[in-house]
Amino acid sequence: MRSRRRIALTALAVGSVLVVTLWHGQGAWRGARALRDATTSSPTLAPLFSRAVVKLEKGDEACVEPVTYYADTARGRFRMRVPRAPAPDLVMKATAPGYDATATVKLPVQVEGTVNVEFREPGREVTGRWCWQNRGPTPVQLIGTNEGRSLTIADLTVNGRRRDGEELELVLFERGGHSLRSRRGELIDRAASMTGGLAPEWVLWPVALLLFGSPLIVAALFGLSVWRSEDEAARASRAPDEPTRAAPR
Amino acid sequence: MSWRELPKRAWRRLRGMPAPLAALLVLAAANGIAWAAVTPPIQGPDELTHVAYVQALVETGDGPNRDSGSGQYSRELEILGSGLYVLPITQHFEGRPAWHRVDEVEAELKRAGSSARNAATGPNAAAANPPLYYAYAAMVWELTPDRSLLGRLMSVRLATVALFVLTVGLAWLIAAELFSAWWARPLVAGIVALNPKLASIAGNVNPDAMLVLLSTATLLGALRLVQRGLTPWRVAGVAVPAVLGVLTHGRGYFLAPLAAIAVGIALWRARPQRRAALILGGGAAAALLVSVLLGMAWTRGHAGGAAFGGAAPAAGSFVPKEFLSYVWQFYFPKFGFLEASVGQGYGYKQLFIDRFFGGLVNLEIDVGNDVYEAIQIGAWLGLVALWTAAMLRWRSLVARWPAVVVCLLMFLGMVALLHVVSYTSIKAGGGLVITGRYLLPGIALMGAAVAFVATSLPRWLGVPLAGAALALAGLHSIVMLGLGTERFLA
Repeated sequence: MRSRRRIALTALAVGSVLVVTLWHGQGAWRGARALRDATTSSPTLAPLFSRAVVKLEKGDEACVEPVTYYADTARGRFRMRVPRAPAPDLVMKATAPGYDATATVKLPVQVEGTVNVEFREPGREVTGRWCWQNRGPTPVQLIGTNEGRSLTIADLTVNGRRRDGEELELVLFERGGHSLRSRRGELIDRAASMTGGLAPEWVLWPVALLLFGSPLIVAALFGLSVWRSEDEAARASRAPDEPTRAAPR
Repeated sequence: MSWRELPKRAWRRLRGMPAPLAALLVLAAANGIAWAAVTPPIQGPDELTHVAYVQALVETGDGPNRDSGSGQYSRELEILGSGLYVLPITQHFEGRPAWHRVDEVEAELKRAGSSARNAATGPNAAAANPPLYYAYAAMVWELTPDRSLLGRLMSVRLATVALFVLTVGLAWLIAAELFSAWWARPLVAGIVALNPKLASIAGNVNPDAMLVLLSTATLLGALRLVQRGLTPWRVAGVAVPAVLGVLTHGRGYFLAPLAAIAVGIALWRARPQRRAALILGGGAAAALLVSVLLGMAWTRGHAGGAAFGGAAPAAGSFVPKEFLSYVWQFYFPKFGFLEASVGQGYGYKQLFIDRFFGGLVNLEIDVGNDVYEAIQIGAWLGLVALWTAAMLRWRSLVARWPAVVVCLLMFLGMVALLHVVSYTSIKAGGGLVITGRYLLPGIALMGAAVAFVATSLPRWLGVPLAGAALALAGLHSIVMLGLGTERFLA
């Protein structure tokens, strides 16, 4: 009788962990498989409190440098404002030693927002520059930041002249959307890269497997504990709220 | 038992470790290591100031100053922070560290040489903290075989993860002390091991992880002392972690009265001879007092004007009526006759729910509001269940009043200190100094509260409830780590 109860309680313990995990874990599973932007680098950042605005008239060009393009970098996102129609055409040039990609985008008329532009990926990691050139007919305002705490190492030039203390927002991505699950190798590689070699990939892989397998581990260890609990209860039928070892005086 | 037997005894204990505890310790280590790898260097909460403190200690043998000095941090940290973009991307959700620049930055650090390790003696906001954690970190900083800056930072992070793993072990022992049901142990220890807030803090350079370890050790020592009876070892078992806790952080000051009261209860119950009482009680009281005085002296020496051992940047005037109104409005709606709270709309939900279960790594990693609302409802139901279980088992609780008093004092002391510190800081114009991770020293109590409810129910109900609690804790841990991965690596 006691043995049956022990088996039932252990099954209940393991089952409760697994059922709740399966029930509520669906969201997490979907999240891991959902397609999302895959950032390759963020050469310059958005404004938090204070904006830098660079107005490009027809023919003007603004550039940021250095910009690192990963082998699969194929999309850039920047922030801009087009105050009046007709909206201008903007040419983007991604250049680096042995790499040159150009794309033209017809900007929408909008108060302020981000615009994505796709271009040819370099196929290998290269570092160079990114330029915007306004082909007109109307001006465009490119937006970035002038907050000291948000400035990166990139330099901004407008028509060849350097603008100190200002940057234009630019974030680079892979083409299309990718799930975290499909990028697991890349993510582990990135995580390992800043650990000074103390948490290399061969350490982080088992760590990740352990953590994502933790519901199974927790179910097993909890089931084992309930089994042992019943075992101990059988040996010494103690009141449930007494301490295991020495009782209070 | 002789000193020579200690290693043998420790090894025997290690070999006899139950498999579920070993599994939980491994999970805790994995959790901490994962956060240490996911969070970019010096990106944790105030991590730059803590690292600068460690470096100042290594380079000068003394901590930095809060208001003056040769600089906030060394040239070396500046090169790392700006070169890898880890400083600019804080609060920039679109920003990512520059993984591709690691080799370049390491080469730059090498070129800069030892002169870039210039002692940055301040101003440093962390200077008010007592030095114990930083001394531990400085030892690791010096002893690590990896002499690169990234290697040293990761070494200290891993050493902090070790403190987290020990905390999980202590939580297991606390459960063993409080509950006879064996399955309560993995429940309490699991809730600690799977807590993403604690794991993420442990994955950074931050004294909070050591404070959590020492608070949990003090609680365990106090429970053993009041339940098992007075011995010199048990008095030391509560006094030593309390003393060390006080010397770790100003928020650890509540441990001194907790330990003193535990010793007092044990003395009162044991009624030893006057000489023994004087030696044990007086020794513990003296040690606790000296630690508080040392902590205060350190804070005064390095951050004149800081209050509560550096837990608050300054202390303003204390108006009891206003303080009570602030505390009331922190938890309950405002009565018409009360003046508006000084608490700036920050209440129990923000502290106990939003910032305890979320807001990881500089408040950048959060789940949706619907999750926080669900947690809030769960917390309310849990409180009602806790109250009901306590009422139904009041005889048993009265019979074990010393343990109940210790647990209650631990929680109330921690929260009361936080409120006093926060209130006086606001009054001094320093703003709110109360956030979710400040509750982590009481995390074993949270696990014990869940276990108390679960073990109060019939087993066929309590066991699945405990299983569900563990499953939810595990899922929360995975989800937060996933969000952290998305924030910093994806």
